[in-house]
Amino acid sequence: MGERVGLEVSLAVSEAVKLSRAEVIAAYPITPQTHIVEELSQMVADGELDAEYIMVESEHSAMSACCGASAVGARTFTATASQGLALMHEVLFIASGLRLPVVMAVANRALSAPLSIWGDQSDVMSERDSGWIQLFAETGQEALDLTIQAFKIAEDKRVLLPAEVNIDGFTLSHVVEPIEMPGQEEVDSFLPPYEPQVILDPDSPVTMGPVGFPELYTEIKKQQNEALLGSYEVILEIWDEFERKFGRRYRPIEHYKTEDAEILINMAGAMSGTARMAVDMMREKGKKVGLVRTRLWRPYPFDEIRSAVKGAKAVAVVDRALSFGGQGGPMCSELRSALYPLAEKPVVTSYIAGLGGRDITIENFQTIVDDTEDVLTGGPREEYKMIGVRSKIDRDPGRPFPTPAPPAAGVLCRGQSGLPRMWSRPGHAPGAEGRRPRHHRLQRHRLHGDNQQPLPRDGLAYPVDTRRLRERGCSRSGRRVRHQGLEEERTLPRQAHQRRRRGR
Amino acid sequence: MAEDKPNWEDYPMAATIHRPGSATDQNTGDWKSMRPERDRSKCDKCGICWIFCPDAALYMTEEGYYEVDLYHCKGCGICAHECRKGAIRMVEEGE
Amino acid sequence: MRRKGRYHDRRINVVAVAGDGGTADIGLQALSGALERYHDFTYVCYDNEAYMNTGIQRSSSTPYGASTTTSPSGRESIGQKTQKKNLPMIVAAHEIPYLATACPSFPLDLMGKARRAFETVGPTYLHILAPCPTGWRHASDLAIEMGRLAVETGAFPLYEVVDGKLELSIKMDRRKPVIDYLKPQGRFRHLKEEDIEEIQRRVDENYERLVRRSELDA
Repeated sequence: MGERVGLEVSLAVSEAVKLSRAEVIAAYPITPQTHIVEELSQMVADGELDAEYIMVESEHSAMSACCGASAVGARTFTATASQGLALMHEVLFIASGLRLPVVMAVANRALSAPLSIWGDQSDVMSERDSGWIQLFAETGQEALDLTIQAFKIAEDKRVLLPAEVNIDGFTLSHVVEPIEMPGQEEVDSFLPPYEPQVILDPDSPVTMGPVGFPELYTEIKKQQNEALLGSYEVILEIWDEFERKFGRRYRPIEHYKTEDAEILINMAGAMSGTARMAVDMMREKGKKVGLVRTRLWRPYPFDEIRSAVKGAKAVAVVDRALSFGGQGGPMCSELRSALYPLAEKPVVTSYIAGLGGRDITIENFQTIVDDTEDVLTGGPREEYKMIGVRSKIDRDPGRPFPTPAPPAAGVLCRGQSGLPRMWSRPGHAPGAEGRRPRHHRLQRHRLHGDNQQPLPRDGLAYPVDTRRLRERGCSRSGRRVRHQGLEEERTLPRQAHQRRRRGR
Repeated sequence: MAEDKPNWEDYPMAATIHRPGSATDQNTGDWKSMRPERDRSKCDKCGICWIFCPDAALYMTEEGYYEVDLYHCKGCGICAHECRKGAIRMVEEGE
Repeated sequence: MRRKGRYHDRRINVVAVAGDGGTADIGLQALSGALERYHDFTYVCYDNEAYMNTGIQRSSSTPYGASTTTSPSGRESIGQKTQKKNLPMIVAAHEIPYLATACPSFPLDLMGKARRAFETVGPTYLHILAPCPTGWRHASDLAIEMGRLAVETGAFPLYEVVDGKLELSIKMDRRKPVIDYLKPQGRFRHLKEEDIEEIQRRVDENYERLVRRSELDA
């Protein structure tokens, strides 16, 4: 077993690269991964690492140089973050399309604009489809271990795909953590030298990456996809071997207090540490909460995640990235898709937190769990909710969860109150059991005919007295207010279907 | 035809081509509209046509004359234009 | 890799070939970086003066006054409004061991320069003019003739820069007028007399500058 040292996690990644005996490093500095490449260049300069360090002039060139070096049979490494990852975007597909086992460390950082150097996961979420094997580290130990494993996984003859290890920018990359350093011999026995299948060689020339006409492009992509899906088994195998050699166990999904949990929090990255503390605190209060942490992101661990969330009533997915105009949380939309075919599945709620380096606090997690509990007890649900966003409107602007779909003909008729309703059949709309439609949202749609009513300016149908809410201890969004149906708060008449449901 | 195309399992990984020079298998000469005809009596074997051909479609025979590989000749006419002896003329393809 | 014994133990000639677009435009950053890092390779720029393969769009290597699909000549436009980027001189500023301009119309000169570029250790650069009948809009059999005229008028001077010293490849006391080169090409057909005079003036200026430098460096 190795010695335990306190080391900044970026430097631990550099150590991992040194232990893995990387042969070519082509990197371009970008906050917050700069420490990784600076340390590597010092190691090469001092002769500690026998590698070629190419100081390229951009990340695009960095990945291109890694592809070239890997094509000649070298073990290659690079590191980047946010804008750099975005700049090398086109070459990522080339690396995976050419099946070159390049390893990359990504210090997850928010994408500009506005310029942000602080951590969030939007950079890697934009590269989901690139065909790379993607792993998330939570601790410094994991960052080191995953980097060493990444080389072995990527270079496995059954895989031959590039791999990336994601560490949270600043929150993980710049913290000093206790790390057990494996010895060089141990790593050598775990990770033998790279044996390439095909290399560029004038003595037996090959063409790598020719034009792929329509007749064959699909087959080649199938080949690549099968390799990525098949790498799942290889990853589990390698993790088993790692456990035998180094004593640390890795699995695609990490469980924490999930055995009898009713509400699970699902997230990836370093903030899971805070989530764990929040889970402990909530458990003390008697709430049955647990944490399901995603470590393996690509290939997506379908089976593991389905079995991890079985038995829970709800899963609150905390995303550190926002997919604009779409489903909101990328991890959540993937989880929802993964659970879709199941007959019995938990309710999935989506939260966006920690964007641009904002801290996710224990209180945030408590709010998330409270909110999910709310949803479970019949409260209205949103597609996704952004945690802690300062807003003039006293409720979160996340889109409401779709209740009934409007009829195909798009009939927009008028209810008795003179306000439009989206469905033509009087009575309650299909699927609306237990959910209260937001009538102020309906007011946003255009009014036809001459019974025009002015739309409320601030999007709210009625003013909500937030001071009273806070005194009562209700949530800022005023949801509880609606639950309890405080009549005096409403200034507009209830719609016919609402009155009917209430038995009036 | 779809039947004689390989399955995804049979393609070399990442569509890497393992046979060098395989592009010469492609028949690039079929769309030419003119083709060169040479008069050996005028040819002085200077090799200018061979050097200037943009497609490298000329090859030297044993006697030292230059013949055209019609599978790759595109009928550009440079050899005819540059020949100092006027030994090459372009004729319509199909004659 | 060679050092570690994981590759052939002999010098491998690494050659990068790109068009004028991939060299002067989208690839300029990468070329500059590679030259600065002093990699041992030869870079060949195949200059047909536009993005020809994708349909004759202009590049920064398109000469002044040429009509391309993205810089067409029209009532309000002369075509390409800017001058051709002087790539060989940009490369020369990187102070590499060897660079040369060449044209296939002078094949033996080209072959000699190519051999010299491959044999020189360190980054080397070859800038080769490649007349394109489709893009330059002239008869396909005149391609070699066009290259010859480009050199003989001084529009594309042939020279080498060996360790910073410029050597002209052809000594021309009298150059042909540039209109001989411009006239057969459809891409210049719209040019008026004053435009041609302007082009002639610039060609003369540029060539004389090269002659002066070659005399200084000799």
